[in-house]
Amino acid sequence: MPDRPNPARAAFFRVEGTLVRPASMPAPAYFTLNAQQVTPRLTRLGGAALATGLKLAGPLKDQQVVHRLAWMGLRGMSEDRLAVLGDEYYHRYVLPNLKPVGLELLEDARRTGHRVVLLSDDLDVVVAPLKAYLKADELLSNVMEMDRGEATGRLRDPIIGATLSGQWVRAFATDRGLDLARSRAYGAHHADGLLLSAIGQPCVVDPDWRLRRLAKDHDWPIVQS
Amino acid sequence: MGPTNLHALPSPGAPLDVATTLTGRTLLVTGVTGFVGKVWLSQLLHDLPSVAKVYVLARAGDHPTAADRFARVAERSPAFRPLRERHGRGLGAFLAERVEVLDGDVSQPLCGLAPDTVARLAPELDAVVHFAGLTDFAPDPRLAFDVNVLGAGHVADLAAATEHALLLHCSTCFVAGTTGGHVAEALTPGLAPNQRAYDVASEVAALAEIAARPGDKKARVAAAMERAAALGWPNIYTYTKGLAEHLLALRPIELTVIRPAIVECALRYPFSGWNEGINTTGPLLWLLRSPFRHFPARADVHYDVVPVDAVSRGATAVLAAALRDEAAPVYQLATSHSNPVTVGRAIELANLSIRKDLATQKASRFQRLVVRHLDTVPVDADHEHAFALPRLQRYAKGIQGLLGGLDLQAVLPPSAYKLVGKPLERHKDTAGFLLEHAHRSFGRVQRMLDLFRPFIHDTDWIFANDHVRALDLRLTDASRATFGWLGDGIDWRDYWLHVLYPGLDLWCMPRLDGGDIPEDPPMSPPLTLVRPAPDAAASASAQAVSR
Repeated sequence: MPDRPNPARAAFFRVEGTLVRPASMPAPAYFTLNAQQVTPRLTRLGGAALATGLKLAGPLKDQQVVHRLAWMGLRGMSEDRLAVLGDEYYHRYVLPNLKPVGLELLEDARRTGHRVVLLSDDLDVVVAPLKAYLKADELLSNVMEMDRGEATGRLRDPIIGATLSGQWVRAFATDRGLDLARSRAYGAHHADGLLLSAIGQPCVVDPDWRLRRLAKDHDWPIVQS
Repeated sequence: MGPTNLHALPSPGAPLDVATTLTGRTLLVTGVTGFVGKVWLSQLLHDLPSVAKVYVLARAGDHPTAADRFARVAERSPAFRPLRERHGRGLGAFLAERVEVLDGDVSQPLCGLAPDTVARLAPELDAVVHFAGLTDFAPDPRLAFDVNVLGAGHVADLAAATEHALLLHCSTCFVAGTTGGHVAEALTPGLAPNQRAYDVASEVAALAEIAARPGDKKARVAAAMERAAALGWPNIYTYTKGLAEHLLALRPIELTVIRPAIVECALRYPFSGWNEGINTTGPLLWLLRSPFRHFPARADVHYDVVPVDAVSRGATAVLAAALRDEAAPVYQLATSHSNPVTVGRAIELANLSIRKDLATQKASRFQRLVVRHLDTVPVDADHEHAFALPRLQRYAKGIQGLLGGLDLQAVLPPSAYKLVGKPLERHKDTAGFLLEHAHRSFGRVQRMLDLFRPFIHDTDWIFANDHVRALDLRLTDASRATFGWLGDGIDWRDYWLHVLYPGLDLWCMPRLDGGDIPEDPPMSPPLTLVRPAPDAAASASAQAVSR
């Protein structure tokens, strides 16, 4: 019987919290504040503020609502503006906030032959340059739905950052030929719990209190920087 | 030879190799001191040095001879930079082998060439490429008539006086006039843009009569504008260029017309971003960079920009097709049909370009923190909104009147006037001066916007470009790499942010701000063209004609 090639191993990194420190200005607020016209900047900022409030308020059954609400204010924004603001935000808030501990974990994963997969709840226009900078193999991020060059304000499914189901991760692994049992996952937020549960070698990095409790319950390693 | 069939499509032929077709050809070109002509000639000599000879027809202008003028262009213009980089000190010899400068003027019969010169050119010329033209939107009709209408006729006469030369005429897409919509690549002499039939010869005569009127330019402009409007042309520029097309179409010559849209910064040749003069986007961008934030434009109207090297490559490919008798009569070198951009998107991309520019250290703190966050928005030109220019003008005039009528000595108590009267009077005078200045500036901006209004507000044109795209498909791979159509592959965001805006900022804005445009440094030793002697035996004693 011929040898079957080993399925690839991957290391899933949730960008927010594991690789990048939280920015002083959330991306949805930055985008909304830099809309073309002044009035929408102010009126639509409410959505981003409400989403931030809900996120900080604690557990929410459906975190998709938070993400949808946060990015809703971009409705009507041009694709050109999204690209330019994404680039600005990356250079101003993402690149200066890279966490050395996260970069070390990423380097280790690469050294040990894992495919590096980044998961981000920011828009692709913000984190695509990060994928290139970190030489990651794959990036899963939120994508704004566009209609004739303008944002509809709706995020395309699946929404990254919301609780990623084990089922979704397994489907992704099958599609990419990944062996989840031999893969790693790094998360920092409670929402990453299901992702971490579905992976053979989970690890939490500077976790929030709910994820820390989960990690202790499951005896997952905790990296604290 | 009868008039050209101006609606026939080219029959599909064998693959077209531009280099093979142009090798050994003799051409005469006009307008090489202009933006497009300069790039075309430089690129032709750079990419097709196997062309036999190019006669450059130019006026001497402020120089002792036309050859001096051309030498100055070749030595200092950035358009010739690639040639200078390739040939270095050998450029003079390279040009002398291929270029002969003829002192001439398109506004004169037979372009001002002596009969013996015409006789010398007659057997050898394969094509006349006519780029010369006046591109101001509101010029003196006298000048526009001489250059755009008479000039085209004289160039056609010159082509007709040769044994077999065809004419490639550079026009503009905007001869389509004020009738918008889909503009076909066709030319029907005697049919005006508003679909009115008119007699071309009578119209040319009528314009000649206006041009000959003595006295005030304004009266000539008004009369020419009236005639233009009656036929559906929005300004004197498009009127004279349109008339020229119709005039040429009736001549017994082999004619191919290229119609570029709004020609702007180069994508690749001579290098990314190069531009010359004040074209259409420069003044609009200048306005967008001013504090003026409500731009009278229709967001959904197409804004058809084409890089100058796309025009240059297209013109050479069309010339090759014409030399093989396989060209369509009209080629629109435009993008609105196959790779469109709207005025709304153009304004957005301009905003974003300005935003990026003002984020750099060269901007003041006020510009970085405030101005870059205030984007310009398109507004209906006919809607009297709070920041409409006529209203701003009225505000300025009104406040100025109020200030003028304010007698501080009468209003203030004597003790207060004694204390602060003098400084207040000074401030009042300064404010009056600034308001007067603002009033005049608003007027200037309004006049500028009125010139551009047909192109950004009133008419939506979509220029068909099927002919150049079909031609591109016929090119051999090698020809397509050098002369293929660039218009369809342009990423407009990248073009505006990284090519057009930086290019205009460097090559156009200084002129709009009253400054100078940088030239390339002089060569050492200065470039000298050596005119070949009339026969080979005398070539050793060729005479220096430059400097």
